[in-house]
Amino acid sequence: MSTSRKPLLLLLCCCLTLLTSCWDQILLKDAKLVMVSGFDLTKEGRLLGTVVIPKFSSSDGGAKIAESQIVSGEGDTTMDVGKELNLKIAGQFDSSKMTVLLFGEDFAKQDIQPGLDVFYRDPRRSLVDNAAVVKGRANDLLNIKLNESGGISEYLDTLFNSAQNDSIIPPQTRPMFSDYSDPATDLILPIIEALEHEVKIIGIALFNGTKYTGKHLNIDESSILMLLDNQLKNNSELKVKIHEKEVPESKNYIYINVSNINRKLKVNGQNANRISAHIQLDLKVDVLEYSKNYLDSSQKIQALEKTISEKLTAEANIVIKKLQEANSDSLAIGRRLIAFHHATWEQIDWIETYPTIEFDARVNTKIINHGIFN
Amino acid sequence: MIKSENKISQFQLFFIIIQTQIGIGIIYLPYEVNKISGSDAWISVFVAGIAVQIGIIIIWLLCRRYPEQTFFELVNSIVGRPIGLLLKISYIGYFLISAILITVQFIEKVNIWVLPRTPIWVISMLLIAISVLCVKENLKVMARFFVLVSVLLVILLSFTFLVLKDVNVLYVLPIGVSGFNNILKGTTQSSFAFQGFESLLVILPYCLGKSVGKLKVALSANGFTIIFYTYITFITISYFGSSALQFIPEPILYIMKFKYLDIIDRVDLIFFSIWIVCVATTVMLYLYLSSIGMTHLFGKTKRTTFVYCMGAFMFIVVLLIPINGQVIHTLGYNANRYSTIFTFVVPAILLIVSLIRRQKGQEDMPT
Repeated sequence: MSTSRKPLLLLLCCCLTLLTSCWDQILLKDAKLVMVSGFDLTKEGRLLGTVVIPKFSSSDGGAKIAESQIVSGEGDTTMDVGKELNLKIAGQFDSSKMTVLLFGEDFAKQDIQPGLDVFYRDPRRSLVDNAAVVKGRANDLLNIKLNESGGISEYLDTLFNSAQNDSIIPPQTRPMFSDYSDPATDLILPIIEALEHEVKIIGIALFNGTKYTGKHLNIDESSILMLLDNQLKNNSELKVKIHEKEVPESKNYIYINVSNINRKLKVNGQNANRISAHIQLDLKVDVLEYSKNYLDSSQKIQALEKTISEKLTAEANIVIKKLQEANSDSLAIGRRLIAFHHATWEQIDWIETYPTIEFDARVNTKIINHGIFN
Repeated sequence: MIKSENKISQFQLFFIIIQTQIGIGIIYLPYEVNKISGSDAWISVFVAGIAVQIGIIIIWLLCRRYPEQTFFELVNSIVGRPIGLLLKISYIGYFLISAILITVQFIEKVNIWVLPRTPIWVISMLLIAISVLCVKENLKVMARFFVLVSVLLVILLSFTFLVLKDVNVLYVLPIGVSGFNNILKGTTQSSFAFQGFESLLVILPYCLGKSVGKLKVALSANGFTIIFYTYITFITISYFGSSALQFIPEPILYIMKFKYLDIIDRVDLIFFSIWIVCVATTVMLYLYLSSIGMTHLFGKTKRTTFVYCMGAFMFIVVLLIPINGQVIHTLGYNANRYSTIFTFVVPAILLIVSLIRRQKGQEDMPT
């Protein structure tokens, strides 16, 4: 018995040496985990990268982010900036757990693709699940002193998540490159602004290809764009101005929450000279706030539905106009043209044609409930 | 004659075929085919699979005439000793080269995705050692192992369900836009993924049961592979879109890398680890097939000896091949071109010859 076991034991001992994976170990204690980074363009046209490295401290509830170290460096490319930063940081700079990437306004207007390349190329890096454009400079935003406790990485991450749940900004379901490398879809990203002690989401930045057009939608318009794009996450609260001359001012508005959405998008493209797109949006809404009137009869509700529908239709058409002016095809009309009218697509130059197509929307609302009060 | 304790059931045959076919292809089949047939890549994959069904029928027709003989035995009775010897040697070579090629492709992927700093010899040794360990046992033991690890395929599949809610069917429309020619070219390109069904040449006589039953099992196993690959290709194209897919050689891993669950940060690494088993089973079967061939060539030596020798040989050859994308791509491309000879052309010719000569195997008396 023992004679047959000996070689096996020997083999097992040999195998142990293989299990240590000594070559590819990366120890957490040596790494400086970058959670947020930002790119800016300097006046000379170079790249200014800013990274936030949280410092962890052990407390009762486990590790907590006590404070953050903010480092910035200049370079010609992303890797160049990384090298520059590495010279300033004790330890190895590691962006495999990065959650948020910010683009300064000027950088985004130039082209975001060169900044992103390394994230897509390196298998260890994270594939950037939250990206945003900063009004102003990303560097300034990352340097603000937050009122909230915890690091800025956690703060921004939650900020984006809650806005995604409210259907204000688009959820990142695909890596950004699949949007911008598609000729018939354009990227949209949230745009944020630095206040004194907070960061605020101010809307959606419209891209054309890999470049930020400089135009953005405000929060109300962003919500409508998300609805037009058939993206309703948990809820979508809309403010509609349905009266003009009420006093006080707040009686002019109604606040509704969209609970169900049905979108029909139709693109007509048999004739290359007359391409048109039409969105029919049916919303089922709950009334959240309406201080003007008692909703005690179905006539009143129907009249209200009609007014809301008209106002929302007008707003939706303004949003569409803005998209066309910015030449940002974020609703992927071009994709439908490819799919259903391929012959037309072959004839046209979409970037030139898109702003000129007939594109309109119609919104129908139906009030489902108005709470426990008339 | 094959000893009765060496026989496998039809259930096991099903999983052997699946495990041999599904392997290296999961990861970069969509990319390779998308390069040629664009958004219609999934059609190409599907058509290639159907072509393989025909290949299976050819092999089955051939083997039915000699129900108790493996390919290495029946060639002699069809084309005679000299040509038979040549065919045997070339098939042993083909099986061995396939095993080596898969190992090399596997190493390249491991190297680029997970273990960039680990020396190549370690990775290749791990894979080859495991294969040798399994192959030195008889087919029945291997079959049990293959059935067991097929559970992992279910896990692999369930990971891909993560993607389903984000796919956009508009990306695969309009169907047929890349043209008939490109779809056909894509079909030849995707045939590499279905390789492994030619193992039937050798393992069909090991299987118990009626001849028709075996055919049904083989066809349904390949049917499963067709559905699996077409599904993978379809979801990757409709997730990324054809134009974005051109940038990503390993699309399914890329999707897994982007998706993260709350408890698992890098789903791609888990996917990768499971995929390793799929690759290992493919290597094992090819190694097994070539070792059977060697035993037929040199009748007296035990098969296990050949397994060890060929394992060592594979290891040396793998170390000699420079692991870089370009070299491996050229090797794979050429092997892909010539593999059709072994999987379709030779069995078809043998079938025709045997039909003309009206020879029948000794055990199979006309009824």
